[in-house]
Amino acid sequence: MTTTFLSTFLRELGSRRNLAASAALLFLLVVAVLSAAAPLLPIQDPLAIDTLNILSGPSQAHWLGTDELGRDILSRIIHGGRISLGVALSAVLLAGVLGTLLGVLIGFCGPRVEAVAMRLIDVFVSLPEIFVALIALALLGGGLGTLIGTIGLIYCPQFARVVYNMTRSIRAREHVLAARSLGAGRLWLIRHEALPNLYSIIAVQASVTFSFALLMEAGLSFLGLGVQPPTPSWGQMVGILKNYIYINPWSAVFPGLALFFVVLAVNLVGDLLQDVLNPELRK
Amino acid sequence: MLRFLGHRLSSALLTLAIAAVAVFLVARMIPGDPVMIMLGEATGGDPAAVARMRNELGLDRSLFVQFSNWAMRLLQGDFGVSIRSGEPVLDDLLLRIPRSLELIAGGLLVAVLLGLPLGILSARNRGRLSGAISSIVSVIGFSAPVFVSGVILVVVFGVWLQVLPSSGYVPFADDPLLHLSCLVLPSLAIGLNFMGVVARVTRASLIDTMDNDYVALARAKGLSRGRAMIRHALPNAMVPVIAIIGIRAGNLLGGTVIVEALFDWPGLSSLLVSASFSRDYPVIQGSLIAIFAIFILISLLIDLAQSFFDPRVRATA
Amino acid sequence: MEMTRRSFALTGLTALTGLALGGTSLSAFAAGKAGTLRYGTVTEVTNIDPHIYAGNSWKVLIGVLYSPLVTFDTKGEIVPAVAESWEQPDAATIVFRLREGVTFHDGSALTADDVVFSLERIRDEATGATLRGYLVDCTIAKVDERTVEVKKSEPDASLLSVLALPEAAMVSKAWVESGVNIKSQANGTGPFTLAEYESGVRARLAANPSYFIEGEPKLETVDFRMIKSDDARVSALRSGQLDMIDFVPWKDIDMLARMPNFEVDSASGAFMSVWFNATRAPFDDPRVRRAMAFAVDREAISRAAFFGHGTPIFSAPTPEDSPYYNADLKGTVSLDIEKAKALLAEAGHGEGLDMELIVYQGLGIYTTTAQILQANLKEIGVNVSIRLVEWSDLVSRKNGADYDAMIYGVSMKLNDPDAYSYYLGSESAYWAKPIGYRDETLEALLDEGRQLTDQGARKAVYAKAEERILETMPWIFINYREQAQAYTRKVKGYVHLGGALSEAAPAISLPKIALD
Repeated sequence: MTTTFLSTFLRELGSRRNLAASAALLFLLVVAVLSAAAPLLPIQDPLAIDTLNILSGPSQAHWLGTDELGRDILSRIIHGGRISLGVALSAVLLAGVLGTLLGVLIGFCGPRVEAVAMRLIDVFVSLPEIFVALIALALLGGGLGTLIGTIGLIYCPQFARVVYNMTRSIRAREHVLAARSLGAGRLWLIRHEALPNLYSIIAVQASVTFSFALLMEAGLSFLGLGVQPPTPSWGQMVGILKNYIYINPWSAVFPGLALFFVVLAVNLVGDLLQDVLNPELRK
Repeated sequence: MLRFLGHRLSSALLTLAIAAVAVFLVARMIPGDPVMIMLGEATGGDPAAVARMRNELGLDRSLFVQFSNWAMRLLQGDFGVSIRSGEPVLDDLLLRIPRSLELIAGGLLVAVLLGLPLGILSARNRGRLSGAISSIVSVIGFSAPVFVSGVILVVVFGVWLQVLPSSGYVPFADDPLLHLSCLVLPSLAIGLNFMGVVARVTRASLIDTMDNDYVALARAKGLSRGRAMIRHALPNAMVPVIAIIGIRAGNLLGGTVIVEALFDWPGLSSLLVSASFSRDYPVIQGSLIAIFAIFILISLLIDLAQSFFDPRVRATA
Repeated sequence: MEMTRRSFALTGLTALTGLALGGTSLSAFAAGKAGTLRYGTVTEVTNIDPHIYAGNSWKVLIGVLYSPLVTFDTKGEIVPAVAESWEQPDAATIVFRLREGVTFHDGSALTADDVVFSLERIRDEATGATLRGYLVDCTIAKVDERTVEVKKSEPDASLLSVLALPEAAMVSKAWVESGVNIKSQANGTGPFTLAEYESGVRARLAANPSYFIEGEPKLETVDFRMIKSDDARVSALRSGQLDMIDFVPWKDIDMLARMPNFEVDSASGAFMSVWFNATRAPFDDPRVRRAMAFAVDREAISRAAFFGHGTPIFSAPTPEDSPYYNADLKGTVSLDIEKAKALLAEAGHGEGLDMELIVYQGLGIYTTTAQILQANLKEIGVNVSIRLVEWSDLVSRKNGADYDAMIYGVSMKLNDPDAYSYYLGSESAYWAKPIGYRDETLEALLDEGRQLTDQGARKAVYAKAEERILETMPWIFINYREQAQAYTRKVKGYVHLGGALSEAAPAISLPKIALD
């Protein structure tokens, strides 16, 4: 299943119908490389302050202008991408690993634990996440670690639920029932039957969660609860520079656009992943 | 129908109860002492004064006693008294709930008024340029974070055109027109994002229903494609649209956090934000409960609306 | 009060209904009455107890709802208020003669008992009053029905100015003891009564018809709106929704001043400083603190964080227009990286050191200042990590000595150099005083200055005190920030004050303001 999922996805990506998604994927790759290589790029120091040149518009020296301390906005957007994408990626990893474990375990734990655990998970999934994140960060204080931990934990129940549902349907398959009747242990079943069949659904859920986590990080940083200055992140830059839109409207718009294009690209790629997973949706 | 209602209501209440316990525990497990914060500036944290105040507020009793007291009072509609202002939390909530509902209603209005036509357009003109453009617009709306579209709206309408207030709140009674004009940009900021969702679902479900027999029959009877779509397919296509509004109600509510901060709107979310910064437990708890209650209520209403449109939903309950 | 709050909630509901009906009854509401000043203020006041400081907007509110025994006028001089006259039999005692016929807003008459009760309430530790530190070693006695004596244990030249501050407000004994919620209700003797109040959002003040000063207040109503967002406040003024705003954002001072229909008054307000935790090494070493003081680029901070509306402090924070200003000290501290490095090396930290800087996250000036400071200190090898915190967190870290250094801006609370003992004295009850800092030489100088009455003699003492402060550097003084008030030209009679009175200036002017 894993190989067919991947090959179908790659084939679809090549087709003309999905030009937008392949362009989006290419864009994401470029952004990822730029962000990862930011310290090596021949761009200005994102922390270099120039108080004689604050909030200036786009110019030859600063293509996207400068911020409230005269720092180069283009350079800060590229370096900010490291934080925004890095936090979202780490949070997805955390949510994915914990959520998958939780989901699979619940799936093999017997009906009583199942009922209670899923009821709790349903409640947490249904509640609006941002309020939970907001309280946690406001009370614990911002910072990179807290930020990743909070976002990761918040999206963990969603993973658990998706994985649990899939596990349950796998569990009911005939050859799994057969293996159980032959005396296969729970751990053997989880390793050999459940996990291999889960990769595709995990991939789709991860792409959805990645875009949510990006937006969550941006929203929290916008409110001042994310990474601390002078380290830039996109949401935080918009949050600070929106205070100066009457002096220089562009400064707040540029980092916002960076975030918007990345989320758009992630959504386009995610749509395609979903289509490949559910062929009937494609018509 | 009654059984369905009872089932949904009890499950909503259970959710609310679990949320209440979680809210209480989370607020208490977090470090930070409201008493030190209250007395901090004035007394430099004198131990005797701190102990006295802690006793007055009941913070020196066991967690379980505090919780049962709180829950009992909550059941009687008593949300406690704000640590900061000494006023009943309920008064603050009653004042701010309508303001947040106003934002949500405004956002929903924008989403439906723009999203439905957009979805219909892109379903109807599938394969044509106008259809593709409508689809693109809806993906863009869906991908633009609330604060990014909010900032762009402020730049365009507040800074450049100067036709709408860029932020602020004016009570309706003071100046109704100004009140409404203050509401426009925040509603758009919340609504544009949701519009994308509504348009996408409308499109998908319209395309789905168009393949149904009765639509084909209507067309065979001589109705144009467009008329068949509006008259016969649209009402049935509404079910998933209503469902998505229910599923995404949390996003709508969550959007108020950003929008209230961006536009300085004194609603529930901004109350929650300011209360958590000053560790005002009763207000944190009260506003969270109110927010979750609103959310659960919206979901409940959506469930009912759905069952009204689609009897099958009732059967599965 | 109950009624008011409910009617507020009703207003919200009406708004919703109005929305549903498509706003059919729009014309039933009228905007802005004659004689109403619409005032936009920056702090979201959530507690209006007149004795517990809660931000500059709080000071404006309680300054017009309550009155002290004596008060400052628009020239900054002390004039009668609840007391019609006073005498000072010796340097430690003041005897106040109360004005006849002063009544509280609830109609009851103010008595000598109320005065004693009010001052005792400030002294009571349980109240947590801001001025407690100043009055704690006072005895307050009722001499007769119209006379009250306030006596300190030793001479104190600043006592009268303390009692003239708005936070030395007179409250009604019977009213407070009746168990009302003084955090959200008001019953003072001031020029305005509290007609409506929503905590953190707005207040409506109505003229007090029985105010004890004839002909005041001139306004009928003050509509007091708390608008934290800088842009919202400025654009509300520009679009005519407000008549006056305080705390004009620094970035907008020049823009508003250029517009023909607005008046912008500005004067130096609070001063920004870096506070050290002297209980923690290496910040207990004056050489380390001094080294950092010489690394700060005060011009750059004034330029970027305050858009040019800040005055760098190159000595101690006594304002230049104060009779106690010592011009000889100017330039004692300036940007001198070599000297800074040398001092740091002398203290044994030539290889540099790490430091966490606690910064209030609510205002752009703090984050901007902190980041410039961070860049400045990096030049001498001090690696600063910035930690943005909420106000409540800042206060509890300060009190718990859980910080290396923090930056904050405070205004001179007192029009007297004894303000230094409030800020830097080890006996001070002020929350911001430097933790772990106690300098015997400075203590002795401050005691001496407080007990002298002759201005010339005091000036000499405080010059020495300032010298000592700069040698030990408990705080790094950065700059004075300008505090600006902006209003439409139809507002007449506003007088802006700087320094210690900058926060109280609107309250002092409000009874005298009229609208064209």
